[in-house]
Amino acid sequence: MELSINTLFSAAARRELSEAQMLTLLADAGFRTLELSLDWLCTPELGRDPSKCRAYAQGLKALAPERNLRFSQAQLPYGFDWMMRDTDVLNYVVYPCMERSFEICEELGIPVAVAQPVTHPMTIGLPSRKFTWNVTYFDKLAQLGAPHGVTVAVENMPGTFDTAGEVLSLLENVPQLAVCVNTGHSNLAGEAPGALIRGLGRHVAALHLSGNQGMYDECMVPGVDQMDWGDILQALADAGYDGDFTLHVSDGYTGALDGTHGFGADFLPSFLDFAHGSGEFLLRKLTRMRDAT
Amino acid sequence: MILSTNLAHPAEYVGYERGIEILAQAGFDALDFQLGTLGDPFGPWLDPGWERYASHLLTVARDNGVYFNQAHAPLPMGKTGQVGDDFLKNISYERMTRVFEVCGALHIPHVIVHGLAHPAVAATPQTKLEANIEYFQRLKEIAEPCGVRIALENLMRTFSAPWSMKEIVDRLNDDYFLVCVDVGHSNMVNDGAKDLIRALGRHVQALHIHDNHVDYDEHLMPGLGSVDWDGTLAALADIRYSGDFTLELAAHSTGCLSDQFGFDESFYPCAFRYAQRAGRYLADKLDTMLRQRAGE
Repeated sequence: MELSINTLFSAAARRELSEAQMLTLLADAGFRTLELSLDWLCTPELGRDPSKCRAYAQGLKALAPERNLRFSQAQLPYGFDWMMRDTDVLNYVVYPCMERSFEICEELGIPVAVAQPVTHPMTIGLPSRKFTWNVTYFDKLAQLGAPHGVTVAVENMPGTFDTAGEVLSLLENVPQLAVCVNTGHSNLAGEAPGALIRGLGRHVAALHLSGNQGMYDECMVPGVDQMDWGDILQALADAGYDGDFTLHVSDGYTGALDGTHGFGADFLPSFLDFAHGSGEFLLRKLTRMRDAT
Repeated sequence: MILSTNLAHPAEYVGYERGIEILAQAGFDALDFQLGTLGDPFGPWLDPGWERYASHLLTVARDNGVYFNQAHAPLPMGKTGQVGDDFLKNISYERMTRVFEVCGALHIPHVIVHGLAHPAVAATPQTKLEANIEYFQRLKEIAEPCGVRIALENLMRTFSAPWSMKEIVDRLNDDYFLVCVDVGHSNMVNDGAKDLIRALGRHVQALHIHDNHVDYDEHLMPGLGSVDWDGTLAALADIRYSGDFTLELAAHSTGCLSDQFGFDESFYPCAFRYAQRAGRYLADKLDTMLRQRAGE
């Protein structure tokens, strides 16, 4: 099991730093394994530009080994404009972007890609419609990912697939799917993180380890939040989880480090050092628990 | 600029001595000696041997290369249900005397004291103002002989607006008193601390630096909430702020609720190192702004 971290950081950091600089900072903080965040792909233009995406992947493929880094999972794009007028959003925007994402994953040898469920406004208050949409959606994603050697993992969202029962129902309909447990989402709605992990058991193939205080999806580094990490680790140990230990943290839910609140990209090394220290602490503890189990 | 943080939470979980050691190793220059948020606000300080203990803590601090730059008094309306005139006359003043004696013994130059807000003494804005003027003037009589000054702090409902704090400062009309701007509190009620800082000007000589998302007084590490830090620092630079840069963080914000959340003492150095870096980042930025203002 390896400690990993997402590459989705603030807009300012992404504006100020090149991919090479970002990877250097992550490596300098001590990380060796990364989750590639692909949300920047959420536009019709990029979805229809395979050459640009291929060049991006090849660039990363060259940069990562130089820094002793590898990509072990990806986060598929999620920030789509689902209400685009007079447009078949799924076929015009979403699926092309997903195809590009899977091509990038294949180029980088990424075996697991995490996808958020569809929470289209047209499904609000209509759980059966939401479920049906998601069965169709994830079935399509699984089909798109398979030729590229990528398994799609559905991520629990507050209010959508936030209980083990709901997720397992989805897996009955789309058995190719795996599951990514987002601990922060689980702390906001549905089952508590430990309970969700226990309910899903062997289906948990990936993690988004993020903290919050139960009010906002702050994506805090574990340890300065208000979540029961002891129970989360025990649930992972009990479930025999052996995937990567992937932090999914942001450098500020409301804008810290994005340049608007006083912190700039030059603070990123301190943030990453803290995230690495927190992850190492939890991973050591999980290892001890697994050994005891 | 001196960077400081509150000692209370690590001290509560690992003791004063180890708490001082952890914060010093994290890189803080000084420590805010809070007497107001510990489970037992007075701890050893009502025991007969308190002076020996104070002397011991001074030695521990000195050995670790830090000192106590300010203190926080227990809240006047504590959790004991003791409110009103009797509380003020018989309990608060008596115990505040010990607070000031402890601060004097620890060579702490000023102590932050919350204003009175309970309906028993603050039924209307005017009675609240008058009660607080009497309260702070009486406290001065006790504190001044100990060599300790008193800092007024903006709270959520007491001296929160710039005019409100300025009103009591003007009425006190005494440079013995100083103002501690609590940036987190201002983020909840005033759209930030900028106006308060500029309104109080030279009276602002201490800070409580922490963050929140406006709705709750979260006392997060700076950068983890919605405080406009650039705007706050610019206001401090405008008034040529020359005090210390003191963080005031909640226990959970520095990993200090280990028994509840799966962390333990071995994580504290990591969390406090991050807090120190966030604080130093902002303090250095303020220093740069101050140098620029000086050159203008």
